Amino acid sequence: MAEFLFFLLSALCVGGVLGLILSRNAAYAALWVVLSFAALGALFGLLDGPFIAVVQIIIYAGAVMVLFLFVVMMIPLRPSAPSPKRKVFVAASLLLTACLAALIFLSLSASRGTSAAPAAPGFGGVRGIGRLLFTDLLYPFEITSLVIMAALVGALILAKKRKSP
Amino acid sequence: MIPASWFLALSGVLFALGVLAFLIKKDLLLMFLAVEVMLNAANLAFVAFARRHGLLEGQAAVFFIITVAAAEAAVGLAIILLVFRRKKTVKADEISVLKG
Amino acid sequence: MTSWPALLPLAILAAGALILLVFEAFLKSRNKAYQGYAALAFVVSSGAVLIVAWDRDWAFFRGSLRLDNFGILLGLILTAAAAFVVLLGLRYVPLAGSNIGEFYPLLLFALSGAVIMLTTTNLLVVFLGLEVLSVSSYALAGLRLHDEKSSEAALKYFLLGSFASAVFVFGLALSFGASKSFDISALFKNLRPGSGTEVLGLAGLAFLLAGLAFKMAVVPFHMWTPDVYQGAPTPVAAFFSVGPKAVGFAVLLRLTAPLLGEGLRDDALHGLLTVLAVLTLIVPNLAALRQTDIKRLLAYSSIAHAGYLLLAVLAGDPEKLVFYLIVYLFMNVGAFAAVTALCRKDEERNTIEDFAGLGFQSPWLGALFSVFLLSLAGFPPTAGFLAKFYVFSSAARAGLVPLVILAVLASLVSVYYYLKVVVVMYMRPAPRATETDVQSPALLLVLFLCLYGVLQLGVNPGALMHLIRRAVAVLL
Repeated sequence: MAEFLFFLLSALCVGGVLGLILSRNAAYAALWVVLSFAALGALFGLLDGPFIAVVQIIIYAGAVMVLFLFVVMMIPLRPSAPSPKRKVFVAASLLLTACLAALIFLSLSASRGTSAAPAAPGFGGVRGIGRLLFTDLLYPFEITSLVIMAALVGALILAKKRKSP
Repeated sequence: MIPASWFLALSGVLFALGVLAFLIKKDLLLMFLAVEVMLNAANLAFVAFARRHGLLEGQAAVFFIITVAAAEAAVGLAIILLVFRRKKTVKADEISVLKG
Repeated sequence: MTSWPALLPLAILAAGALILLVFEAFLKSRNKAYQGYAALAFVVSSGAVLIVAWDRDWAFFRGSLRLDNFGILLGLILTAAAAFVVLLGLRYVPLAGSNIGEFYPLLLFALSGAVIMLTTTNLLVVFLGLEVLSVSSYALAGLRLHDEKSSEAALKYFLLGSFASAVFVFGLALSFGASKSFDISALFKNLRPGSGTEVLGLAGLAFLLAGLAFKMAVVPFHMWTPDVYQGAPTPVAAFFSVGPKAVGFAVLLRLTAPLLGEGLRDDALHGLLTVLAVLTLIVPNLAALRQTDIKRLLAYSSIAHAGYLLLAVLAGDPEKLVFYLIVYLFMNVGAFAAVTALCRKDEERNTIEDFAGLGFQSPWLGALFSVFLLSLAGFPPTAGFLAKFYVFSSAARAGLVPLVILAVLASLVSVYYYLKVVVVMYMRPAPRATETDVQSPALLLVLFLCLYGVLQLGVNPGALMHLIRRAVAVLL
């Protein structure tokens, strides 16, 4: 049962990214990616991470991607004309990616970990993660406030409407 | 119980596809979406390793990555809008004043 | 030793940025100069705390924030760079119009990101610091809102930078899987043969390095550099050319330092770094030959200097690398200061032709710019020569003779394009009678401090080398 679920969700996940690569319309591509990220959230659930599964779906698939969709809607869509030079470039990209994938697989398969020990009860719950965030990971947690502040200021400055000089 | 290495393999596939999408897409928004896919591949790898090692830190790292992705999205979309207002295009190959 | 003052350098910068933002919102003053002076005060006091913290090894947050001597010295390089850039901003911002008012807070954010990266050995913290630095850098590059080049620079920096961040995060995930922790030193234990995770750890390290290489502008991850430097406001480009590069190399040193001594020799990592170094020595020096824009020229020059710095990494000599970084700070910021001096109201004058006749029109500026260019090219008795000499000789001692020969040839090529600018300044008449600028005192201060650094370190590097030796001792 779990295996079936895994393969179904993986197929959705990879299919969503393929949809991004193949679709010519930006809005459809963004929706494909939403599907992919939602499936990814479900996969987190399979990996004993109920809390981050919810966070992934609500914040990532929900908020961040909707922000994307807003911007996609603000920009008029226009399909691009394929140029002859692209073919060579696409082929080169495919080759490069294949090399990269081979490298990643080599490194991942070289690490056979001792798995299959069932997770401790409460693993991945709100309590454990919350405690971690406010003890060992307090410093990174504080820094995220700085990241968000810098991003906020930067976005406000760049996107504000202003009189032309 | 599904072994963690299956999830790791899926994460590798997603990362490679993200890189591919970044390289061959011409639309700025879609290039940035490809970066999001790469970040999510890293998220999956983190959760899989957290499960394998029984370490909650891996799951906590996902929070930080989601936060960073949101912050980058805010700045990035602002920049893309800024460029679009001026050039009326979001195609990467139509934006090239700077070269040499 | 756990003690709260470890927080101060960072807290001053972050609080300073917020205070400046509040000022900006509520004080509708036409003159933004007070912002520059306030920013300078914050940067300098943060640097002062760093100096006080020397040798005290303050730590906080269970050791994820640690002011060791290495972090302090590199942090001082960064605060010095930021202070110079603020001084350049005092002249540049009034010329660029009111749109650029948020320059100082963003610069403080960028600097705090750099300080975060330098004062930790936790890779997750390094990543978040990198993001603070990057996110504010993207906005800084696009600050000339009315200029389409600046927007394009921001766009390119953002797209490639976020791509690099994603690569870095994936490397972080792999290295977490290999070492079961975010600590840098834990990564090494898993790189030793026989640990069972060396392939995974090495792959993680490779992805981390690729992500950092974007920041350091190392070939083949350098494509953004010329465009971003050309489009970004000149003081911002000066910061980009020094700040992220120094931070990137500092993290690289922390990552590889334990390997430098022993196993780097026949390692896959050694091969990888050698390829990067060879490419970084050849490509930018050839590309710089046909540039007509001074900022693009300096961009390729900064990529080329990353090549010499990589040579120092390969030689396993962190002392010489840090010395090179400090010298590079002075000569490069000096060169950018001279470029800033040419800026007019609402107009950056960046082509090499704009420098024609400068040697006679403003003899001081011409002479200073020539000194910085000669130092970049590596002429004695400037510090640029000494830095190169140190790096080359220690690489030769480490048995990297072919690489050293390549580096010497590369710097011979570089002499041509640096001297080309000097020749234009002194041999070509000015195209039109331009009014002589009244230079701002802030700009002159930067020029003379950089001149002092370039000459003083060229003749008398002993005291600084002593400090550097104590700083890098933490690494080994």
